[in-house]
Order: sequence, then structure tokens, then C-alpha cells
Amino acid sequence: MHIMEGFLPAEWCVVWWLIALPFILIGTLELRAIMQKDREYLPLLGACGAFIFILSALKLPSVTGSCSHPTGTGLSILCFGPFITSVIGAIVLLFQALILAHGGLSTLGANMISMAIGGPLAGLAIYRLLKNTRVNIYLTVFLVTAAADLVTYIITSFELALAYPAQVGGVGTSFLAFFAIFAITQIPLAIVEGSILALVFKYIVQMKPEILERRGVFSREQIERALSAENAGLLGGDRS
Amino acid sequence: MLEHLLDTAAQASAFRHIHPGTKLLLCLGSLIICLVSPSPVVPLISGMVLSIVLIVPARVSPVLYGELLLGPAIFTMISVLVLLFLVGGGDLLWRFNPAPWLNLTITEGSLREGILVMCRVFGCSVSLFFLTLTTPMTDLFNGMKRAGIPIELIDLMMIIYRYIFIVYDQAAEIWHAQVMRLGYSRPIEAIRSFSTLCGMLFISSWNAGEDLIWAMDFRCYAGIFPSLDRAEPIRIQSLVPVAFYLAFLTGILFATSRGVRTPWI
Repeated sequence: MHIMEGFLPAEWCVVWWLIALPFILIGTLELRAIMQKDREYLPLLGACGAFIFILSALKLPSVTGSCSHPTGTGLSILCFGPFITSVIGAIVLLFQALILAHGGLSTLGANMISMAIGGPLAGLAIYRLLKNTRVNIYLTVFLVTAAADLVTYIITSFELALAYPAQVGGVGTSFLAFFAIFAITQIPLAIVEGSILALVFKYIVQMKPEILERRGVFSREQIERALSAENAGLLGGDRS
Repeated sequence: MLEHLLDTAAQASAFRHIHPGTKLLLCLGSLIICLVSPSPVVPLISGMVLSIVLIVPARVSPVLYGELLLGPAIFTMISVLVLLFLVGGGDLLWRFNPAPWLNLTITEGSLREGILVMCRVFGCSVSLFFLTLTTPMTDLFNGMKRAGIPIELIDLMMIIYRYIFIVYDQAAEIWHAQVMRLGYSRPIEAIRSFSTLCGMLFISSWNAGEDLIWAMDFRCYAGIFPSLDRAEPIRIQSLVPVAFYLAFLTGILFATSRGVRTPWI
């Protein structure tokens, strides 16, 4: 998904930077508030950031001036909401550009919009829809993560299509061409990432349920229901 | 992956002790000029000049630099191939009909666009490499502090930066152990192994992070990481060549963009 340095024309770099900046500003203010309130979140923030970095560095080449990889933002959106996730995502994208030469500074705005803002917002919408229902919390995490991953690539395809509309059919044709290429690798990756993040969440529920409850990610009742289902061996019986 | 960190190369660079602001000025200046150039000449010249500067006076390993350039080069070539058939305008140069419903054409406009994108990616990538191969992350963090970036943001950056190495080391150990136990021998087995790896990774890095915070609390951590900022002063000997180089690029930009309609010039 990382659009490489210099691939987008200057005017589109400016547009995506301008759209991304308010999210980063609000995210920074939220970050300041959360760090002043309780520094216990700091390790979780760092772990989320490093996790996103490692997952999104596992890239597969794609024929679109970009690449395919898991995004890892689902966990952060559940724990910290869209604005702090946008800050964590922006830091990760900046590090990847500076340390690994994945992405770039001019395309950072566009990459932020797709991976750190757009994808997580789609995940958040699914989460809000399912949060207060009786849907299993692991299924919710799976859907949130897979949606965040897929929407990230839909937005990247849109960004590329806007920058390079097709000669015949314009932006629409170009979008379909870019997304069709991404879809080959990204749909299976989204399913795998959803499964992985659901499992990661299972570990968090087992080991640190209190922090999820305090952040209001899921209610105590939902967490206890998930734990009792696991203990009853309904989730594969790996604890038996 | 992390064995070839650009940060390691930056620590060994001969330009390591030049003020980060000077290097940032060169990086951003040439990047912006390459980006707004409607002609491929400017990014091509900028990319070549900065490559020579990186390899000769900055003493960056040519092998490392070549490997680094290979990534964007492969991506760019494949992507430009797609753009050649997608965008267009101008006279038809080549037509190919692999199927009755598929008509692939390359036009004069698409070829021009393809060459421009290829050169722009080269010029902009080298501008970024100039910064990353000569400036360690610690210098950038200190530079950000001086530039007034909120301290909470920089602290989070430093924590994530530290965590990346913790997570990566643990990931490598777990992955090797799983491979030794045939954890990736079949697709289903691979998904299960990878999920377990990620789950354990997340929890253990979280625990390591808590240990780090506790250790820092015992050392009177009050929410801000104090760090020693010993940046070299801005020197006229490095600033003048940068200013001349950017003026030279701007001159070529204006010379090559005459008659080309762009939103900027």
C-alpha cells in the first residue's frame, strides 16, 4: 500500500497532506490528554506502533507503484480510536520511509490517509455497529481488522486513480484497474490479518482484560462471556 | 530486514556530523524541486548528482546504496509499465490486442508520462536517501524537539522506535523456533504459526514496555525523555554548497520548463 516517494504528482501530495493534517493535530491533542491522565497506556501505545511497523513492513510487490502487506491498524483503532491511531500510523509510516525506504515524505500524506486514517475509520464503523450486540468479540475484531485492511487498499487505489486517470474511462477505469491488481494479494491478506488480530486479541483478553474494560473497548460482560466460552473449549479447545 | 537499517549506515557516514538542519534543507529542497518539475531532466540530474555525493564524499557503501535503489527501481519499472497502457494522449505509438476484448495501446503522452514518473521517483527517492543515509534517528529526534514538534509526539516516536527492535528480535527468535519445528510446512500450519507469533509478540512487547516504564519511573521519569543534544552548529562551509546546489537545480527547472504548462510555473 505504501506509495513510493515521487510517484504522485505534487498537487496530489499537497491535497493528501492537507486532508491528513487535522487528524494528526487532533490525535496529538488526544495523545497529550491520555498521557497526562494515565501513563500506563504508554507501553500499549508503543506496542501498537511497533506491531503496525513490523506487520506493515512484510510487503509483497504489487503492480501499482505500491505493495501489498497487512496493515495492523485494527488493534489500535479498537484501543485508542481514530485520532490516536492516525498519529501512531503517521509515526510508523514516517519510520518506514526513513529507516526502511518504504513509502516517502511526499507521499506520506496519501499513505496516512489510506493506512492511518481511512482504513481505521472503516474498522471503527464496523466496531460501532457490532459493539453493543451479542456478536462474539473475536468475530468483531476479525471484521474490524479485515475491513480496515481492505478499505486501506481501496483508498490507495482511489488515490492512484485520481493521480493517473485512464485515457479511456477516466478515474473509474483506473480505479478498477488498480484495485483489481491489489485484490489478488489483498483479499487473502485481509482474511489472514483478521484471523491473526483476533488471536492477538484473545491473548489480550486472557492477560490484560482490565485495560480493555478501562478503555471501554468491550464491556465486562462481553469480556467475561468470551473468557467463559474459551474456558468451555468453544474456541478450538486449545486451553484444554 | 532490520539488519540493513539505513540508520546503521547513517551512523557510519562521513556527513554524520553535519548539522541535521542543513541536510534536511538539501533533502526537502531537492525533493520539492524534483516533484514540481514538469521535465524529467531536473529529477534525473538531481538523482545522479546526489548519488555521486552519497557514494564519494559521504562514503556510503555502493553495495548498500545499489540494493537500496533496487527496491524503488523494480517497483517503478513495473508501475510505469501499467501507466504506459493506462494513461494516454497524443499520437499512437504501439498497439497490442492480446484478446478480442483487450486493446492495449502506448501513446506519445503515456510514454512521456512514464519517463517523467520514472525520473521523478528516482530524483525524489535519492533526495530522501540523502537524509536517511547521513542522519541518524537520534539527530532527527533532537531536530524535531528544536523545531517545536510536541514533546508527547516525540516521546511516543522514541518509544515506538525502541519497541521496533524489541519486537523484531523476539519475532526473529520465535520464527526460527517455529521453522525448526516445521511450523510453516503447510499453509494452514503457517497461518496458525504466524498468528501465534504475532499474539506472543504483542503481549511480550507490551510486557517489555511496562518493564521499561517501571525502570524509567524508578529513575524519576516525569513524562519527558531527557536526551543529550550535541548537534554540530550550522556551518557556512556546508550551507553554502547546499544553497548553490538548490539554486542550480532551480535554474535547470526554469530552463527546462519553458513552454510546458504546469500549475506551478
